[in-house]
Amino acid sequence: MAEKLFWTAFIGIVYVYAGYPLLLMLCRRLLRRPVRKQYQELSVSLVMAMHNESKSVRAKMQNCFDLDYPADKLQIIVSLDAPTDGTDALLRDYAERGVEVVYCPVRRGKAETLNRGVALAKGEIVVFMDAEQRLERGAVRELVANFADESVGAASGALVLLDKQCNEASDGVGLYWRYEKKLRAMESDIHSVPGATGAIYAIRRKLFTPLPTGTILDDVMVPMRIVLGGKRAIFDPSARAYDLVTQSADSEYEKKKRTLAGNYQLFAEMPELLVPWHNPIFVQLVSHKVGRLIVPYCLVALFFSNAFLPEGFYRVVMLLQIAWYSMACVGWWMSHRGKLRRVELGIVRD
Amino acid sequence: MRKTLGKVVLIPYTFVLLNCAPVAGLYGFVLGRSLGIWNSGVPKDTWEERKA
Repeated sequence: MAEKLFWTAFIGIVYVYAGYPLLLMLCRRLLRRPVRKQYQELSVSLVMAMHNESKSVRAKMQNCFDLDYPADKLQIIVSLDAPTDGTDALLRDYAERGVEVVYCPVRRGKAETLNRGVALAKGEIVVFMDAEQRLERGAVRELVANFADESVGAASGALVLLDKQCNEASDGVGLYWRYEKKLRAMESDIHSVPGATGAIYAIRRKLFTPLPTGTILDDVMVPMRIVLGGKRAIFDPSARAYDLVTQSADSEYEKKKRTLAGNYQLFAEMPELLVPWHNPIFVQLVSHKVGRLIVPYCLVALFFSNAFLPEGFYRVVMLLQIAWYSMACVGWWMSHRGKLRRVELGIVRD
Repeated sequence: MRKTLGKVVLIPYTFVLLNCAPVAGLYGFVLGRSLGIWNSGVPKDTWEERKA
């Protein structure tokens, strides 16, 4: 019994983190569908949903004006969800530069805010973005070029996390993001990615249908609806948005918690995603998204089943697991020692 | 050396933490917590503030 549980959990974990990437590498060799990218200047609506962004709104607007895209082809829409920090007042200065602001005095959440923004959009292509990240000058041009291929319905850009020296981050969260982007690139080469990057993604406006109120993952629901409709949702790493990886593993945890709750919500609202003959990227979705939801339980099963298997190979795995979790504890201590010291000092002072 | 070691131990820590997130996410979803609303009402820091 313990042995069966051990191997089921082991195979599950290895498949999600190593088997699936290897399968993608193999499929990419056999089934690659390159996007026929062609530079063109379609009309574009940039849509941003904001709540309290008084600190970043000016930089974001400047970033939009600096984009390498003809101003007469670019519509900038900011949809505000009951800001309380004066973001709306700051945006008034930009009205004369053509920025359109939709204001809602009652908080309704991001999905509703996006719906109101898209309702104003006139561009053939709608580019969604967040307030915090900065787009590379050519990012919109790169994204739009993908729509020369009629099979493409959505195109996601890449979020590049920078460290304090402005190099691509390579530790902890940064490393995880690099791995994630490699997976997305391979998935995109075969057919589609099961989700876009909220910081920068574009769709054909005619394919947008309003999001249900309370949707957590607009950047997964929008492209997945497009994929179910028969078009591709691709990933283009040359359309880049930048953010600083100043967030700790803890804040990434908070973000992930929300994202993964969003996955449960997504499956509840779009059960057809889990039906292989309805979803053309069923394998990718299950391996990438569902797999990540199952791995924690596999890790627990692996550890406890291993405790009942003390011989040979199993003993080595157990020692490796103990070493791994001990390192995790040290990692926790290292990233919290400043905080712990402050608490300690606070206790001493009290 | 110390810096490299610090980076190395952050990998298992991040892995463990990110694997706790699905469990916490399921808990939040089952309890029907309103996660579709913005995370916090406090304005986020600018790039310059975060860099500093």
